Parts: sequence; C-alpha cells; structure tokens
Amino acid sequence: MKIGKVLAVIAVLLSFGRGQLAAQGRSGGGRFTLSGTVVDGSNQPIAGLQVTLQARGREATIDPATSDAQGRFAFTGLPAGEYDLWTEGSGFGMVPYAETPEPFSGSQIHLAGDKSVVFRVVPRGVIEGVVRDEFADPMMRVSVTVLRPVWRDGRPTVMSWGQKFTDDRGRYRIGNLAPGTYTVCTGGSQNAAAPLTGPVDYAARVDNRYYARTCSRAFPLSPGQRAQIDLSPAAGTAATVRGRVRNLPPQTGFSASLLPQDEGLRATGSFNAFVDATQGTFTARGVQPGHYLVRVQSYGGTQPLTAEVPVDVGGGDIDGLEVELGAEATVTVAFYGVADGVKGLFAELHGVGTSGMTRGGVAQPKPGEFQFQGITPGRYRLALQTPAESCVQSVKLGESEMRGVVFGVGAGAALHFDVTVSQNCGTIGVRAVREGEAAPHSRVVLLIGGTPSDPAELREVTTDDEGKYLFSGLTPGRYLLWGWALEGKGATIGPSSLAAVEQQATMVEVTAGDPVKVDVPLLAAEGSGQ
Amino acid sequence: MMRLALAVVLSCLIASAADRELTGRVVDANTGEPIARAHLTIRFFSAGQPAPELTLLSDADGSFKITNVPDGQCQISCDKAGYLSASQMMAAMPPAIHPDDKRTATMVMKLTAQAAVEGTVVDDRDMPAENVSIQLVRQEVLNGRRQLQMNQGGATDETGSFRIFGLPAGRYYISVSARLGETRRTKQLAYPPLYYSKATDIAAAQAIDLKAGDEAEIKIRLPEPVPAYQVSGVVAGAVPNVGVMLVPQETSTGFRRSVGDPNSDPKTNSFRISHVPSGSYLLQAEAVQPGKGALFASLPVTVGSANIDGIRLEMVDATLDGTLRIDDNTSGQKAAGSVSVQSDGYNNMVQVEPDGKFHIPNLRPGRYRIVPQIFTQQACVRSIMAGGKDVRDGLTVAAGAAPDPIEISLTSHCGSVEVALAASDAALPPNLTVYLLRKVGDEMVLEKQGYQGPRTSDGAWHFMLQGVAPGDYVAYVWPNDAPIEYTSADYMKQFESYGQRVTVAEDSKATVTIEKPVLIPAKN
Repeated sequence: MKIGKVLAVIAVLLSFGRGQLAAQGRSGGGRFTLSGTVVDGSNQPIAGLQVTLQARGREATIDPATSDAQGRFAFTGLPAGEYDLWTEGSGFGMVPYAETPEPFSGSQIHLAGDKSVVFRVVPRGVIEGVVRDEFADPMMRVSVTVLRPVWRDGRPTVMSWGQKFTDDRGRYRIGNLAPGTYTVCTGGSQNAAAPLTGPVDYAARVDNRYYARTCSRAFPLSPGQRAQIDLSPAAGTAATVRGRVRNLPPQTGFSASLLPQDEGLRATGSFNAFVDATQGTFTARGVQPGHYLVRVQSYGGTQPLTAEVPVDVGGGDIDGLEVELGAEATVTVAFYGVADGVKGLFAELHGVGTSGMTRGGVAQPKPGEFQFQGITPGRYRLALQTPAESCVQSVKLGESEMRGVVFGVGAGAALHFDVTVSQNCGTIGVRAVREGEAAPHSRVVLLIGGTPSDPAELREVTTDDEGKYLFSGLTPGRYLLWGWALEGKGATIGPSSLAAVEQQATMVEVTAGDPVKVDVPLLAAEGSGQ
Repeated sequence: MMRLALAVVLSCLIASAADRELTGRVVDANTGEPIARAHLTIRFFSAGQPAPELTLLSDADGSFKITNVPDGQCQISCDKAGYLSASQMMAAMPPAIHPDDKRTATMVMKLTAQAAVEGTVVDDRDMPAENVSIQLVRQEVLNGRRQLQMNQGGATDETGSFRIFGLPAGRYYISVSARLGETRRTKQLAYPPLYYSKATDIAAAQAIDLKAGDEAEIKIRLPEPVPAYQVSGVVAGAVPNVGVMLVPQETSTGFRRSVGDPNSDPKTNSFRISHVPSGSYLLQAEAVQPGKGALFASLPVTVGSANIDGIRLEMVDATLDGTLRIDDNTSGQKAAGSVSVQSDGYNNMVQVEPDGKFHIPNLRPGRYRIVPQIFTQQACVRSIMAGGKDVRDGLTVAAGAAPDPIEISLTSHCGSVEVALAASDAALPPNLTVYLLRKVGDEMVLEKQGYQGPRTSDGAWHFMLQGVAPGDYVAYVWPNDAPIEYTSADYMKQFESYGQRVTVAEDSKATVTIEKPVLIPAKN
C-alpha cells in the first residue's frame, strides 16, 4: 500500500512492515523475552531512556521499559510474533529500532524465542541557515522546505520532509532529522514576487519578476550533524498562464489553479489563478517552470463541473489555453465475500497520468461499500485493501474483469465496481539475500498489479532483523519481486524504474495454501546511489 | 499649526494629469534615519478596480519614485526586517494630498523598530521542551477599557528555543502551553497552565514591558505535572457541528486559551475533554448553523480531584432580535442604519431593516453595550429596553437562555453641546477629539465623541456635538488614539481638572470651555 506522506508518529508506526501477521502463536505457546541495549551513535550505552514495544496487530499495550545505567532493557512474557520497537526522547523526537537512511523505514523484530538486540539510537541532525536576497539582506517569513529522496510508485522522487518560515533574521532551523540525504529549497511559490528597484515607470513596468524555486545540492546528513545551508533564491522571470473555459454555463463561477504534476511538490508549488467568471477566463501569474495540471472546478451552477488539463511551463507566457468542463463522476466500490463489520477493508482511487490525485474512498452506510465523489473525468486505477488472510479474487465492472487495469472515467459517469474477496489466498515468504547471506533491514518490493513498465500496484516493505518478510493475502497468480539494500554496501534509494531492472526480478508463482518460500537477491546499485 | 498626520497606511488622491509622480522616503520613526531597501507594496485603484500590486525597494537614501502613475487612489504598505510592518500599527487619519498644480505627490513612511522576545523552555526534569506553545498577550486599551489581546506567538524547537518578533511596544504577559509526553499522559497527568514566569493565572503573571527595538531574553521552566481529569457529557438535541471547549473562567474575550484535549463523537453528540488540571473553567459549546445564527452553550465547571461526567449542554439560539424606533412610532432605520454591539475585544455591527427590525447573531454570554449608529444629527437614544429594564448602559446576555428581544427608542428631541478648547501656545497633537462621558455607578459610559472643527479668531478650537441625549455629562478632550481608560471612574479621577461638567437639555444647546486636553506621555 502507499506510504503515507505525513511526517507523524503514526506514519512511522504504520510503516513498520506493512502487511499481514505471521503465525501468531494463537494456541498460547511460549512466552519469550526481548532484551537489549540502547546505545548512541558512538556505541556508548544510554541510561534512563524509555523504550516502547508494541506487538503488531495486537491491541494490548506493553508497559514501556527504561534502560538502566548500562543501557539495558528487557520485556518479558511476550508471545511469539512481530514487534515494533521505538524510543522517543527529549531533543531527538521518535526513533524506530533499526532505522535506515530510507525515510519511514524502521523494521520489525521477529520473536520466536528469547532474543537480544542492540538498539542504536542514531543521533538526530539539524539543517539550519539563512536566506538572503540578491542584496544580501535577510529574507523574512520565507518558506524553506527540506526534501528527501524517496522511491515511490516505481521511481525515485522527492518528498517534503519539513517546512519552516524564516524569522526576522532570515534564519530557519529544522531539527530532529534522521541521518540521510537531504536537499533544501526555497522560493518558487505563488507570493514570491521579487521587488523592483530604482525609479519605476508604472506605465512601462513588467510584473513577472519572481524568486525562482532554488534548491541546494542533495547532501548527506550524518548522525548528529548540524548542517549550515544558506540559500539565496535567484530572481528570475516567471510565466503568466492565461486560459479560457470553453463551456462555462451561465450564472456559474469557477476556480482555477495550477498544480505540479509531481504530487510531492504540491504543498509549495501550486498557483491559484485570478478568475473572471463573466468572461470565463483565468490568469495565473508568477508561475515557475515545471509540469503542471490546470484544475478547474465550477461552483454555484446546477451541477459541479470539473476539468484537468496538463500544461508545461517553460519560462515564456502561455496564452490561449482552452479548457472544457465535464460533469463530475462517481465511482462506487462494493466488496463481497466479507462479513459485516470486519476491519481491514479499504479502497483508494489513484489518478493515472494527468489526473494525479489519490483519493481514499468514503465508507458508505452500506457496509463494505466505498464511494468516490466529485471525480474529474480521466484515467484511474483502484488500489484495494482486504482483511488479513483474504485477497481480491476479482474486480468486475459490469461483466469486464478490471483487476489491476487502468480504466477511463467519463464526464458524469457513475461507475460501480464489484470486488469479490476470497479466502483462497496465497502467501510469499521472502528472504532477502546478499551474497548468499540473509539481508536484514532491506527494501523488498512486490509488484501486485500492472507491469514493470507501468506499475499499477506495489507493496514496498522493509525486511525484519532476519532479512525476512511475509506477504499474505495474495490472489493466486504470478508475481515479481525486487530487493535492494538501504544502507551499507550497495545501498540505493531504488532503481530509476522497474522496467530498468526487469531482468533482475525474482518471479514467484503463488497458489492458495502453503506459503511459497523464495530468496530475493539484492540489486546491485545502478550507479544512482543515495 | 496642525502638523501633517502620521500616515502609516496611506491613502493618496492624485488628480488626473499626465506625468504624475509619486515619490517618498522611508525613515526610522525614532531616529529619522533613512531606511534603505525597505519593501514597499503599492496598489493603485483606477476607476474602482484594483491593479496588481507593485513591489519596490527604497534606495540607499530611503527614497523611492514611481512615474506615470494612474489617476485614482493608491495604498502603500511598507516592510523591513527589524521593523514593525506598516500595516501593523494603528493608522492615524490619512491626509488627502491635493497636488493642485503640482504633479508630484510626496510622502514620508515612518517605520517603528520592532521588539522581540527570545528564550528557552525546559521541562520539569530540566530537559529541553519541544513544541511548547508560547503566546504573547498584550495589554491594550480598547473602547476605554484595559484589555488583554493575543499578539504574536510561536513554538519551541527541539532545543526548547523560540523567537517571537515583530512586536509593537507595550506591556506583555506570556502564556505557556505544553503537552506532556505520551507516557506521562497515560498516567492522567498534565502540565497546569503557566504564565511567565511561574504563575498559574494571568492575574499573578509577571509583565514584560517592551519598547521599540528591545530584545528580551527569558528562560522558562515548566512546572511539575499535576493530576488531570476528564470532563464529559452530551450536547442535548440533534445539533450538528458542535465544537466544545474548556476555557479558564477568568479569561477575557480578547484572549481565550483552551484547556485539555477535546474529543467529540458526532454520532452521539457526546464530548470528552481529557487532561484537565484542577481549576475553575467555563465549558463552551458553539454550533454554526449555515444560513442561520449560531447556537451557544456556556456552563461553569469546577474540576476538583475527580472526573466530571454526565454533563448535559443545552444549546441556545444566540440571536438577539430588536426593533429600532424613533419618537415611538416610526421605524428608526433612517436615523440609525446599523446597530453596534460591543464588549471586551468584540464589536459587531448589524444592519437595521427598513421596518426598524434588526438581528444580532452569534451572541455569546457576556455583558454588552448596544450602540445604535446614528448618522443624523437630529436623533439620540432615549432608552433601550429589554425585559422591562433600560439596558442602555449594559446588557447582560446570560448563558442557558435565548436573550430577550430589545427595543431601542430614539427621540428627535435632543440637545447639542459646543465645546471650545482654549487657545494655548503649546503644540497640539493631531486628532484631538472631544469625549462626552456619563457616570454610571463605578463606570463611565461614552455617550458621544466628536472630531475637531474650525478654529476661531481667538485661537480656540471648537467641537460641535449634535444629537446628544438630555442628561448630565463631563466633557474632555484628548487625541483619538490615546490609551485613556475612560470606562473606569477611578482612573478618570486623575484627570478631574481636565473635565468640564455640562448639562444637556432637550432641544437646547449647551456651551462649555475646556482649558487643556488630556495628554498622557507616549509609551514609545
């Protein structure tokens, strides 16, 4: 499933090996002890630190333990299973066990006997600096964003990891950062107009000087490092994008905005257009170069209309963009074969290509049904989540089988998908290996829908401390797997695309019944390392 | 001679002519030194349509020049790091610039240095406390009353440090709001409210006086966490979108700080506020109804050493209906087009309908002054009746019941007062205003205020007040924006020699001479 974007305790917890439970020891089984030592970046024990343990999928809370003078802690009486371990301290936020440089990646501890771990609380780093304008004056109340390279949807991209506004001294500071690769950006937002200087001839002035989106190089942040990154956004020209809505009904208003096609840039890189409803025209000023979607939404009319048009902004003004509104569509997803009230059902609608937005379905009063309203005409695919141990057998739109298929949604359409969930599911027991040895805390990716050239649905996980991961709830069929190292030798953020590493995929055939065991060798880094 | 008004957000009128120029200088309000590279944002309004903003930097000598400006009005605001943004300060009366034959309009933008507060917060274990909310509360005098108003705020970073800048000079109190870590929260503990440096309520808090340019540095230590409890209950009736919060009982409306963690379940309309330390609070609920006025509920709650469950909140329509009449019969709408409702830090104005009816929505429990905005000089308030009592000096809206409808009676039989301010050699500040106050118990009520009129040949300034309700008053003169706490009779005792008693009778004019205006030293 998709990794959440929000940097929050919850998000980190959810990322602890998404997927289903291993065999739980439901029969009571043995009770085990998980003990360990907490150490800092120099392998010195940390005393008096509170360490929290949570059993994956279990409600009961376990009392936290506090490390003693030698940094030791222990949790006793634990049933077998998968556990998340983390700590939270003053001055370093939340740190998961076995944190890797990959954002959102702690890994679970597999407990099937007494176990002892070394919990390295890697010191957090800080990125701070001063933003100055072209005259070396500090820039006040300017937005500074810290980005991290991530691998999402089958390709490397960047993700916003923190944002601050500069103070009256032009200073910003973002702390509690896990070690990894970062880049810092400023400028490029809607209100970043660059002031003119000297006597201004009002009649002859041109309003297109803006502070362009200016980023530092990507740099590695070591544990405990205080990186000083000063920025000076370059003033440049930004474009004006003008367009017209062709079929605006009378007495109807509308809003228009330019959104970056890359979802990761939407928070700071979107532009609202000035709208003239009487003419049906819109104008967006100060638009930075990039790939955008013009999203138009009507309001006040008899029915809501919407449109999305891709536009590439180079640097020159764009005139005469024409937009045709279409009625919003509705998509309904009904699950069958699941008892009422069972948790773990979810549906997401992902825009493909131009219709970039991902939406979660809104659960309807009818159990097992999810609805998506206000959908812009375009191309989409469904990502479905079923309760543990069950899987999607078929996704029917009328008579057509649509599992893993990208479909078109027309204006005003009302699509209804019937999803049959079955218990005849398979399981893949993966062991990531590097040179024949188990590779703990590595990334494993399972392609569930689509092809390597056009991945529709992926599950991205981190192997546990034994290099293993169990994917369950899989529809019988053929699957492809890849793995790569997140730290140490050969570490990479991920391949530039799955198509590029299609030849190195591990193929596995899943049938209902016993788990299929497979070793997934880690990819050699493509040269596009961290 | 009247000096030119201190213009901060400037409105300028430029007569139509070709080759018009707008020039100016940006200077430090205190030293008079020019400010280089100040950010000026200028917007011209041509034929009522705003043009896109122009941003411009002042030169090294603080000057700026724009040629070929369009005719119409313009609005300028000015920013520079280290100074208060021009739009932050209270605007004085803008001058009209009549260039006549001149084609150049010139202005001086004065920026006042900001004050800033920096500091660190450690918790009760002397560890840096992250994400602690620091809220600066400034003492202000509004509508003749000393009040606390929220100003800037910030949060601490992971070293427990914060910096709050852009503060106007004044007296401040600092409210500190911190959240315990998850582990101690599960033990039903919470930090009690803290006001710098060690007080649990604002009455005992330490004030910080900041002047322009001050950089204050403070250290804060969070107190020991205290046992915390839960306040829960339901909102009666199927009222959607109810927001429930708990505020300390002695909060003024200008500064409302919520306590505890609210949680509500829209399906059952139940609410639960957890992590509430012991204390006296007001449980407040508000439900916005689209298209209609809001519903309110307010209940005093004292949390001792146990949870409080089973509270039932009855939401009440907080709309105050009223009628405005003149001379008993006619709708007063032509005399007063709107009615203002004022309280601490609150001022709402509603239109009066042609039939004299008006409706004031969203009225929280509290004490208010109802002030019809009379724009004719021939009318004044005779009475404001609610529930059989005259409430012109203050209307109390109680919690738990819809307010009684009110009847405002205007009369056209009013008096007038001519106030002469004796001539003097002293330089007078701009914006002198006459204030006619009426004593009601321990308070003074502002009946009327009037702006400066012509100057007679003997050098005296004259102020004319029309439409004054018959009664006994005391008249004073002071600058319009002076922080005079005129609602307090006690406070006004110090200015007794500056005031002149005057009795106003129906349909007649009273005259009074005031020797000197009340001038309190500027607090810059």
